Amino acid sequence: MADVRCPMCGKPNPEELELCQFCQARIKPLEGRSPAEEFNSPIGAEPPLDTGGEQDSIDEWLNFLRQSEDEGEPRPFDEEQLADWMKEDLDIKMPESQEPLEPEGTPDWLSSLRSIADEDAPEPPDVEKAQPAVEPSPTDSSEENEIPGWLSKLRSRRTAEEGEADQEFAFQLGEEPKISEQAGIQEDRSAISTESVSDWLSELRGEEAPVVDSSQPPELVQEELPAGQVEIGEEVVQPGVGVVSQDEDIPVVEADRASEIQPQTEEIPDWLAGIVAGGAAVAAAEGVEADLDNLPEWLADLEKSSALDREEIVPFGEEGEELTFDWLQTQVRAGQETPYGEELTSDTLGTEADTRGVGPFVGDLSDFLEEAELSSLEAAQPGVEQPGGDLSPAELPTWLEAMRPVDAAAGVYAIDAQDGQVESSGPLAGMQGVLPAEPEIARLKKPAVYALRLQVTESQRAHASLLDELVKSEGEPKEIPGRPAVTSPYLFRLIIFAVLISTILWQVFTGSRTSPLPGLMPETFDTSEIIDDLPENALVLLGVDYDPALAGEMEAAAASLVDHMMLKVAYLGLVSTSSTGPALGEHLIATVGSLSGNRYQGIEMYANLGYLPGGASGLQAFAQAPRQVAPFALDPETTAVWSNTPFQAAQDLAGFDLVAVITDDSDKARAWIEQVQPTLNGTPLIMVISTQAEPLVRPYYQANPKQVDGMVVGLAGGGSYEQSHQDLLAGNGLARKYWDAFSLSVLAAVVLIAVGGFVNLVTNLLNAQKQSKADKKR
Amino acid sequence: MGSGCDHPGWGSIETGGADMKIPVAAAIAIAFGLVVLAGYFLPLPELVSLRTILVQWSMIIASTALFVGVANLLRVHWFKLRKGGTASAYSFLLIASLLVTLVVVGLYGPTGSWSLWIFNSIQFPIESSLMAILAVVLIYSAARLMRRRMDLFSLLFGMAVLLVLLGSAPIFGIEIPFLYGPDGLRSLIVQIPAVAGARGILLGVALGTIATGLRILIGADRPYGG
Repeated sequence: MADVRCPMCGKPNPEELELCQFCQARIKPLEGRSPAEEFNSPIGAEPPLDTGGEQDSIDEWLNFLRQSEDEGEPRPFDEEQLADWMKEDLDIKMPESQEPLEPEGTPDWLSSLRSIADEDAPEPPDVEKAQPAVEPSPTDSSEENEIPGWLSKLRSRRTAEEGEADQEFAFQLGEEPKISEQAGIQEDRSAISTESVSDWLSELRGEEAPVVDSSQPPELVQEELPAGQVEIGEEVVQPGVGVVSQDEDIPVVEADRASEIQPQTEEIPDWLAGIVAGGAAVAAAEGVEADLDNLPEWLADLEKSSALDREEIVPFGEEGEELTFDWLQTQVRAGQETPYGEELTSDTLGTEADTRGVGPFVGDLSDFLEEAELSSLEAAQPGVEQPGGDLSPAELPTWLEAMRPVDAAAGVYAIDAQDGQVESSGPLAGMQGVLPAEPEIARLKKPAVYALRLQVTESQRAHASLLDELVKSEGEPKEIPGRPAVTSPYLFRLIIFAVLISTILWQVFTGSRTSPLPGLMPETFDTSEIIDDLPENALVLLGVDYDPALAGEMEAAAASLVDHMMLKVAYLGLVSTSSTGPALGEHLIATVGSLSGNRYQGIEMYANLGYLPGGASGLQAFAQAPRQVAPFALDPETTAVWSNTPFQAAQDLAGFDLVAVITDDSDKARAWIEQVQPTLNGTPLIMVISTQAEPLVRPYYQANPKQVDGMVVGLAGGGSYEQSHQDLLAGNGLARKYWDAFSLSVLAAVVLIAVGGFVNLVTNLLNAQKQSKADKKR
Repeated sequence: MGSGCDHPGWGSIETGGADMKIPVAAAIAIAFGLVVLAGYFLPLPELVSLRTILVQWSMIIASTALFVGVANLLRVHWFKLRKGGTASAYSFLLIASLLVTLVVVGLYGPTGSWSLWIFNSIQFPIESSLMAILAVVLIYSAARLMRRRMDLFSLLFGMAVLLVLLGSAPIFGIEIPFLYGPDGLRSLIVQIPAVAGARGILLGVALGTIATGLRILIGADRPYGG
């Protein structure tokens, strides 16, 4: 069983294994992989392509470089596998480096260079002349045995072509290379290598263009570095390899294919593509004209030998039919490629170098980003023509141009690409990392099904049914119980009315006077005495302060008293604090006159002074200045009574012989007593009051000294006054008329109240018993 | 009397550049009250005459207030009449009665024959009839008292009503000895407990009047709207 060496670690593995059993790197390359897989695959886990045994050796050599670059740690250098000339070179150049090199075969990038040179590059007219003269080094036969075949072939060709090629190459370089002031290590290295390497290589170095320092003019750089090496700061740009750190020892490769590097970035590992691109840019920026026509013959042979290998490389767009996005990638590649053989000016290369600040890992970017960067490069290279000018450039659809994420979506795309989700349908089919149409959170999920049946107990069910019945009963209309037309209160009120009106009608129609009038009362007696003491033509102030509602009682109580005054031919001055008082006074005078037959009419008999507004204040003012407050009478002539007799003699109320007040209101009686009585100065004050006002007026009568000199209280007082003066009112006083009816009505009222109260009391008791029984039953 | 007082009855008087608000209405009320009160205690002729003038002014103001009240009554019912509806008939009746009475009394005077006819034929019987209805209602309420509230005080109240009524007049000419007459039970009830209660009420009214007067004098109460 043949072993297969791992391209990564170089250790032998069984042939049937696809992955290295030591480093898990893929041994067998995958064919027809999608660009996305290439994009996501790790750099060191996948060999570029299988190009045969020679290619394997190159891969191993490149893997060594990758691993050393990735791990950054030295590896044991396998000196046995190197050729002698290479051993010497390595020993002199980098004695500290111990990494093994694989001199066998040609690197992948070099194979690509050759293939491109065969296919695309126009055949230079004098390639042979452009080849630098290489003199065969005087080496031993043993050394020649250890030299690889391709190198031996190269050496034999150089022997035949030395001389003129050497001269032409020197002519193209123009002048001797100058020593670079910046890289001292480079200087030492070049000096050592000039001495220790084989002769053919020494000649080659001496004849080829030196490495150009980016910070130095081309003349200086060419003097320092050997041909084919371009130094960028501390890094050495090796054509075909790119920028290589000076700490690493790598084979020196020709630098005249810097412009060719960029198209090869897709065929070489990504990490190397970036380096190549960067090196090419730096080399171009330094003004080095990489004339592809001046390739040495040995390098041309290498290109020819690797032409077949290159044909085995599966180009982009042909890997698999399932990749629907290949057309776009192809377009990107086409736009990315720089025409072979096209000389890049320093300006364009400088622009490219600036643009590719992140350049070494262009392959790691998304296709869109690559396209964006490369399109910017194209814009910066107006003179560069696309290879294959007859091919019309692919045009992206407008909608795809609008949807294309360029810069802002780069990070998102990189994150989504790791998910490995590939769009399966729609115009974006085949694209990876496409944002979902709707977020995960908005996706509808079938709701969980819960049981709708409540877990209730029997008691809860009973309460619920009860509540349901209550709610239903509330909504149902209920019949309003018909109200009986005749209710007990209504009937009782009718009975009261009937009893009272019957007693009154009986008295009216029968005219009976069965009830004797009350006897003479003390207050009535005092009142009668005061009136009896009045002189003739006495001036009496009669206050009429009662309401028409109580006129029946007040007139019956006062009629005999007024008639008594009229008998004394007293001049009456009527005044009232009520708005209806003047009319009531007129009504009283007329009533008494009609009953007694006295003709008290006109201003000659009495003067109606009218209404005193202001209540107690009006009384106060009238008591203080009666002439100013009530200067005129209410007769048709509006007589100024105070200027006529008998009012002319009275300057104030004290000038009156008597002040008599007829009122049904205790407050008015009190106002008269408190506001007027103090101003009377001995003038007697008597009052005819209603029964309801008696309790409040009596204290003034019972006071000592009396504030009220006499009282006639209600119908009983009037009857008593009439009883004491039988001659008044012609013996047909109002009190006498009303007294029987009054007594019967009072009796009826007492009976009604008593009976009704008893009935209601019994009813209430019965209801209370029923209620108590009902409560006991409950 | 800070400047921040915003009482509606406080006027604004600028004194020396400082905006000071003085309760003008309260000051006037207090000043006049003190003058009238001083006229009672100080027998000075000037104070008495000043007090008399002020009290007469009060009568004029009261008359004006009555006139304003009548005008407002007319206005309210005029708006009700314009609004229409069933109540507008009553408003029309009120306005018509007011205008007719105003015209009649204005023409014939308050004691004219037509004016007295209106009073004696309309107002007097109506108010007397309302008092007669009151008698029925009072009897009914007294009878229902035992049904609504059956307690000791209700029973005492009912018994007092019955005794006073029975003692007010002889029953068919029969004078109940212990009820009727000056020495009867009714006189005792009216003159002792009723008068006692009435005096208590009077004392309370007097104290309340003094307190109200003092509050008005010191400006604590402003019934005049200030």
